[in-house]
Amino acid sequence: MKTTDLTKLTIAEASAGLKNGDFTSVELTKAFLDKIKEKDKEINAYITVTSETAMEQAKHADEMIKNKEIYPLTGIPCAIKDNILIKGVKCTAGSKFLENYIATYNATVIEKLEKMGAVFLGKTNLDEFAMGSSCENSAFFPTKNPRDLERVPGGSSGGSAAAVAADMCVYALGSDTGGSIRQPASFCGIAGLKPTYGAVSRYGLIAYASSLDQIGPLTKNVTDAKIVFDAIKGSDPMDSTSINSEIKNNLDKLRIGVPKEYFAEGLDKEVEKAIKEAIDIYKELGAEIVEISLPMSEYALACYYIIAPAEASANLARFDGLRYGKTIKDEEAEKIIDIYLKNRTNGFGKEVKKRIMLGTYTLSSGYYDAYYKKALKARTLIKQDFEKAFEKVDVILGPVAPCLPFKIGEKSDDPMSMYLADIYTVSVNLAGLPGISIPCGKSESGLPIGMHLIGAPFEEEKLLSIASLFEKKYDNK
Amino acid sequence: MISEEEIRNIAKLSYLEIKDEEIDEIRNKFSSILEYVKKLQELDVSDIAETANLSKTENVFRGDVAKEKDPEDLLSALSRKKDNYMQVKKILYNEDN
Repeated sequence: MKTTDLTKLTIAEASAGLKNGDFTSVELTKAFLDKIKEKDKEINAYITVTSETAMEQAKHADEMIKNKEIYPLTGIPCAIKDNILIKGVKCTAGSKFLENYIATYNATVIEKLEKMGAVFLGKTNLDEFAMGSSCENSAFFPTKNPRDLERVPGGSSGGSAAAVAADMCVYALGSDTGGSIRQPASFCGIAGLKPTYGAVSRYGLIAYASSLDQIGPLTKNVTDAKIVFDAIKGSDPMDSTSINSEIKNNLDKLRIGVPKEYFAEGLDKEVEKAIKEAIDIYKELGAEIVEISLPMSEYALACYYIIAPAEASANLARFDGLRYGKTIKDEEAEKIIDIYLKNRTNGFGKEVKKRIMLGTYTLSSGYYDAYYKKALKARTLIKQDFEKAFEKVDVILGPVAPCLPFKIGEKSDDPMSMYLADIYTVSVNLAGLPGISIPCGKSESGLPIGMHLIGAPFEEEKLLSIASLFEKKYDNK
Repeated sequence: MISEEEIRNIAKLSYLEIKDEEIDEIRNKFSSILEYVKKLQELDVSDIAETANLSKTENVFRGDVAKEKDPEDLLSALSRKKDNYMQVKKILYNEDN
């Protein structure tokens, strides 16, 4: 094998190397652990590195390969966002509340990967309970963008995106509630897929907003995203929203919808230029570009910031510090209510408290109709917008984020300016659609820009093929 | 802007304590979000059905089969325990003591 740096390999390349006997999973895993040791001091992508178990898993994978029991992810080292449970490994969700929590069971996605002989290098940083767009809301430390260390990697799956971009794993899993896979993928210049709602089981994912959350891959390219998606998808008795659906791909004449609303005020000029160049590439490839309208787009963010906190306030009610996640000393509480109050006050960070309170407010009597109910109805309209669009086009193309990766600290004081980073991604979660972010250009200063492709429900196969068409052309440019 | 009293009431409902010096910041941030989401009031949604979730409507059934689990896994996470039971602080008390 010629490649000197094993950490640069994609899943497909690494898997081929393992199969050929060019190197072993133990060698591959060792290369990544060394890379993490060397590089993560400055990036801070990992909260926990599980070197010992990773080496054991690698040995096991090498056995499997020797016995010709080879799956596409056998022996491939990956990173897992720290809100997905791996039995016996600390799982913090980026929160002080769970600082010492050891997971007591495996998430279904972990179970599936483990059966294929995956190697887990560790758990990656995130905004606390996945609430944020920059990784700055982690209770432990901010993660830095490997492409520019002064900037954020995006969020909330910022640790996963940074780990992939800095070659500190081959691929990573993240979760996406309003853009948390796609936006960091865009900021770090890698691929990130948010599957259709229900395509992947969420059992073992620490819930943020259950009608929006999905687990998905962050990878070096589209081919890898497909490999991981195929490995983790499918119905699961432990998540009643997960279903086995035929993932469709019926592509005759490619029609790409470009919503005029996505190019309105607030879009960074350099991002706009890169997206328009991507549209030209699709034209060259023979696609028909159709201007479409998604008139409800301007309401998506408002809708999201009612629905997501409302669901979060219910989901996070379970954190009382009794069964897990204690943050106070016994003598600090006399009555049970003191335990709840002190653990929660002490354990949750500012953004999490704000969202819990916001959700509590919009669900409380007197405000329920004006806020929550109204948002559920607006959600129907947003969904219908997309349904109408997909009668005319195969996929919808636009920017992932309206801005370039911003500097650490730049937006942390103004909640609305931070929330606006998700303006293009949240509607996809509200409508339950699959969406992928792939690199499509760079700013003059060299910062990555991502393109967002949105598909109809359960058309991941088609979405990935269309993304792949672009990627091949773009890589050869 | 949302009142201090309202913020304190929401905090109470959320089982969160708020320090006096935090009140202003929370009121400000809260208000800026509420101001933004007011945008939805522009929409006429009187005839529109609600979308609370996207899952298929049919129920999913599975057999109620007991599985062997190691209780130690769960017990080890408890903050206080006694003889393999979770131990908690006083649950019944008068509001004033």
